Amino acid sequence: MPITVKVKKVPEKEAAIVKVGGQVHLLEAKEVENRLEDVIRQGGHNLILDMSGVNFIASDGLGMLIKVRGDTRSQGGTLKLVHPQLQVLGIFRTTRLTKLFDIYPTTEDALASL
Amino acid sequence: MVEGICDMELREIVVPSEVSAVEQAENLVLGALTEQGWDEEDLFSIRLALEEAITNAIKHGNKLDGSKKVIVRFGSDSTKLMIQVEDEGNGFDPTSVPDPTAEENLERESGRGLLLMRYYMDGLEYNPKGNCVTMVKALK
Repeated sequence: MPITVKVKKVPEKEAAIVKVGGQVHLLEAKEVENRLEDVIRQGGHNLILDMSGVNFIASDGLGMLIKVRGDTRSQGGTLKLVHPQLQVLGIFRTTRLTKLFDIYPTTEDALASL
Repeated sequence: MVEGICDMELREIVVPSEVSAVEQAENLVLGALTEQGWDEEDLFSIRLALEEAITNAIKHGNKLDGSKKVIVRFGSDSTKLMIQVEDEGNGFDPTSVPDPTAEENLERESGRGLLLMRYYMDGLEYNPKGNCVTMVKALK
């Protein structure tokens, strides 16, 4: 099933809001990583990832998010996650990645935190 | 823990060691379950555990060797589903996998598959060689 990735830049915050939709399986995890790396390279080192449209993610997807988090941090930026669906949030809780990631209810909340 | 599977009639899928084959295998198994009364939450859990098991088999077991296959067997009765995933690798010791929820491991990019399989299924057992995992999910 194809995923969707939509990017909206917020230059005044050196940020980009990226909305991902669909199921993030093994292949899609790599595709999302490539798109996010492009956004970081183009100056959006504060990444706000809207996950409200993601209805599946597995450990490769989690690994991808950890890598991207590291990439934003090495550029002096940050990665913030927004509104993961309940089952996806459950995976973050099970793996204790809620300790690693800042998770916000809305993109506005995430932007305001920058 | 993983009891009663000998009486089940099992279906078998042979999966090539390619990452593109993981989702196809999942869809075959999940497609066969949708008419058996499993709810969305169960199907999510089963898909997740299956993805982790097949991914482990292809990447870590068969080491992406195109000449090697992964065999997925599955079957169910009125109380449970059983899934078995076997690769052609040398096997591993599941007790040697570090706890990915430990503070010092949280930033590791891999190593969470086994934890998720255990958490989202009701029973999990490796064969002594460590190249075949059997997972059970109880029908609510």
